[in-house]
Amino acid sequence: MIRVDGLRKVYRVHEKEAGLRGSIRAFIDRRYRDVLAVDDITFGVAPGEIVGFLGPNGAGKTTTLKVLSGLLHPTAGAVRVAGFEPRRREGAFLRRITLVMGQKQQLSWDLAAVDSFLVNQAVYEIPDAVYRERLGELTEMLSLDGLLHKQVRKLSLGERMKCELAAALLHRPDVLFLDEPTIGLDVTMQQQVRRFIADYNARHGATVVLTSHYMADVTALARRILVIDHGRLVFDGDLSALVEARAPEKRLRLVLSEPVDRADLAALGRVHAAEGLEVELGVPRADVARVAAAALARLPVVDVAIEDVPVEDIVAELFAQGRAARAAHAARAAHAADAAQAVGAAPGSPR
Amino acid sequence: MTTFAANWRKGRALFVHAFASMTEYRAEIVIWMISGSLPLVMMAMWIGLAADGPVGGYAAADFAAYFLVVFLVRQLTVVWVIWELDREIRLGELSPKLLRPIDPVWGHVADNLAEKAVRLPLVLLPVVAGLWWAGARLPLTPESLGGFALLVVGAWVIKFFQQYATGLLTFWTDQTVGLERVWFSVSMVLSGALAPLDLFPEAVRGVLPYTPFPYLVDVPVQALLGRLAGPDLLQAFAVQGAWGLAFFVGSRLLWRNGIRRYGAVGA
Repeated sequence: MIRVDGLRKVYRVHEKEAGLRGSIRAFIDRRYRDVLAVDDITFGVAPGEIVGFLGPNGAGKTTTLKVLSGLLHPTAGAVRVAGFEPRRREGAFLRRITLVMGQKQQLSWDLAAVDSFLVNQAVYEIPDAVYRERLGELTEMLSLDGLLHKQVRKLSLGERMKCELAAALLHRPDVLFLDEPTIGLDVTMQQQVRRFIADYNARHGATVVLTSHYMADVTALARRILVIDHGRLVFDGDLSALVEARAPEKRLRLVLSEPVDRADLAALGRVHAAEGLEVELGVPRADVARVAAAALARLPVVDVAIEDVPVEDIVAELFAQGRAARAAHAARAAHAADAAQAVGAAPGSPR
Repeated sequence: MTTFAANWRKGRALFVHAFASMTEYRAEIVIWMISGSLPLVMMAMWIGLAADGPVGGYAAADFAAYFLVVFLVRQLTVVWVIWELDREIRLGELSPKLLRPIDPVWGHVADNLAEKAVRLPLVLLPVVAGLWWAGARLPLTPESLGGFALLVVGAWVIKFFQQYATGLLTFWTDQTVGLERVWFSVSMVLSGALAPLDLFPEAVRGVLPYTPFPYLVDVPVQALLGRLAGPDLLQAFAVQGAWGLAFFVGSRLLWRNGIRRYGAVGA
């Protein structure tokens, strides 16, 4: 359904120093800098699949979604979505996709949501009977009763988001791009939106690509995740595979009835924490059962729990490794430049 | 559904939606209307100058009729699309519109027409009352009325696509609003909004018909006043139409090239 090969996107931004002097300088001699937002990304998404994009702010997630939905022209690389080249924005392509942006809205602020729906009905050429049927379905799935005829600006953020989702899905697209669809929503509303997305995917077999800051969105909806950092794809695969690859151990939490020697704990596994009577051990996945049994046999255990390392921790660690690698690379480059300068030939100098 | 029927439905839906939005801003439209009353100020000035006898063939009543119709033409051809484009492109508000399978220009056209539908009754009343009060006599023949109506539409087309084209330059520079200011100042003078073009020096009058400016105000006004008829009227249609087409084609070319540079900022 989606095929991305070697996608690159470079933005040109103009740079300005702070303050009056900077403003004057920018007025006279404007300087530009190229920012590499997406750097050689390749992946594919099968029909009906739900894929989650993870990455820190500015990693390139949203840029990728904007390229996939045709808003941005790629700098290099090939992109196909549902057999179309998104940047051409053909009518037949736009009728098959939707992009929901948690921070941008399509509904008219001063009118009722249903007024905007009617425009979409005409623009997407939806016959009356079909429109009524779909609106009924969306009203039921999103509990929109009583919201559609209120002025949009009088709706709460969550209510508005639900109406935005309905507006974006009236033409029943089979490819959904969701950019932070739950941003700013309270926990109940986040769950409702999540459930709705899963429902829509199940009912209509739609392909879904979503980004979110909330790990729960991604873990609840997507089996497969793409982790993107500084414009590069650093992981593509099963969520469970990521957990296994990145967290080869599980956490064994013990509550003891009396203190024990740290050496006794260390004999069982890596000691992550040992405060008073609560102990946390890191144990290789394969050994969990054996070690737990041993702990119960040898130690005065009151309570025991075996847990996975939280996905948040794994992803944070992934990004930290990326940063460390880049820092080391930069340090090596700076060192090489110093060394070159010392012998009188700076790299990149024309002489 | 045929293509025509589908397009008709789209146009109607956009118009109904825009009309609903515009009626939310009734008071704002009246305020904007008042802000366009400079021709009425010019009218008072010229009537004063003509108190002791006609100026350049215009008696006081002629100035009254001229500037009341100038006011009407300018009210019916008000265009603000450059501010919309400037904001949409710089702030990324264009994105939701790009996702729909319809060119964003049609939404702007619908907004403009809906605003005119709300504005027209509000404008007609004072203009008709003013013409009656000033004792101005308009010929009101099918030729003058029909010619006037078509020339007003033509003037709107030139203004709309000129502003649309200028607004699209936001893809390349953030100085478009300044450019529009320059165009506005020049066109205020050369369109006849401040003084009838008959009163301009010979040399200027010789060049003006080859520019788009007279077709924005002076030419439609003269048609309603019955001073432009027959072959001259047909020639005015042709030249105005050519300018309208030129700005339309220019704006399409700028759109095709500019959209590649769109940054879709935010969100």
